[in-house]
Amino acid sequence: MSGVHDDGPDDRDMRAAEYVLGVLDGAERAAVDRALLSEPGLAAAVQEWETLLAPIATAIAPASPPAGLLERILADLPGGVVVRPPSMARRVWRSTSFWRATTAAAMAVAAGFAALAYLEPAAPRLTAVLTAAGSSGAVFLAQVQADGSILIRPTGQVAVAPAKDLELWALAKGTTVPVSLGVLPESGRHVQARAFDTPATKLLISMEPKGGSPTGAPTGPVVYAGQLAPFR
Amino acid sequence: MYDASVTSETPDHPGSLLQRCAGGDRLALRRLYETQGDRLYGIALRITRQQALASDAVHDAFINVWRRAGQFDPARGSAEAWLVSIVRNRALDLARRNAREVTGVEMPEQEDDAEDALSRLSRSREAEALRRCLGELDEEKRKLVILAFMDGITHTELAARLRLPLGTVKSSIRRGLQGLRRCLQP
Repeated sequence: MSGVHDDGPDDRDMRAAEYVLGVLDGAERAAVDRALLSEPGLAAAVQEWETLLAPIATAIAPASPPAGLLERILADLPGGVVVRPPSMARRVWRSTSFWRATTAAAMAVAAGFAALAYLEPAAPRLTAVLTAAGSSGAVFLAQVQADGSILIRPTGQVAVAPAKDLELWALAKGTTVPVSLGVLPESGRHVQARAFDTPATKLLISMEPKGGSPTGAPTGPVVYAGQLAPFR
Repeated sequence: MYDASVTSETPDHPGSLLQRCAGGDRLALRRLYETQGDRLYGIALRITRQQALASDAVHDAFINVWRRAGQFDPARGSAEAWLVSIVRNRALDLARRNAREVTGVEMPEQEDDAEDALSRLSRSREAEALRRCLGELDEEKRKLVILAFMDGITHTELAARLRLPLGTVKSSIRRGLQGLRRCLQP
């Protein structure tokens, strides 16, 4: 969309207005999202239209959010979660079920889980080991946290081409369309999970253009995958 | 950057609550949710049409509000408009992302209340100018702009809903927006 429509302030203003109005489809919207990063004039126009059109929202009937939403918000506020640096804490070593679930062949995996388990030592958690197709070597370890977010970390160096990003997806059992859980931050750990059918969910990581899939569905190859399963 | 005198009309005014959020006051965010949550959830629900997605949109929006409260600039617009934009953006993102899936029970088709909406617009000063300018558009353009904003649906969906050719919908909306721009031009 950008590129095609970069022809003057009036057109830019209309692009901003259509974006704010909400009439653009997923791909068109993603194109404006990308253009916003490099066109300050477009960003200013979007902000202006947001202010101009916002009063229309006063005609919409309020509705009661589900109980517990406020608590979920407060629990997820940045600063409320303490992520400790990975370390082999003693309480992890004492956990026999931890070791029962671990084979010698998966020592690298164990070291990874130890760090995860230390964050939430008591609770059983849904965990996934993500491997490359045709390989059993763990590349990423993912664990669902109490607040529904997913903690994910690579077991080693994962190289990503400069113009690419890795995007995490959840594929619920019986469905064929994965739901994006977000782009993996370069050094990052926490990815916010959307509502999805956790127990039977497969996690996928696809290679996407910088910033993530422009369409809302994976556009690049799925490079790593793993099944979420309870881990004690 | 933040002039408290402009916005702190009452302790519950969203502008004052945002200012407190910027200072790290969690009680202020709670109060913001208690006073604005129903309105914002209604907006998100209208766009996503699914309770789970609307909840996610409001959740993410409030986290965003908390992170960005210090960037809110009352000189650019009201706190209410700022909150509406953050929730709508998130709701639109989630709605587009889930467009090709069936992840829950669809809500019944929205009633066609675009015409009526004009009379329900807030009587605030900001809304007054918009209402006047929307009133100057012809009926089809006004209806398309209001419906599009409230439901956050694409050109294609609007065309299907109103049984109009896609080209007509696109050009009517553009002309409607251009009319609003001319009318609202400071």
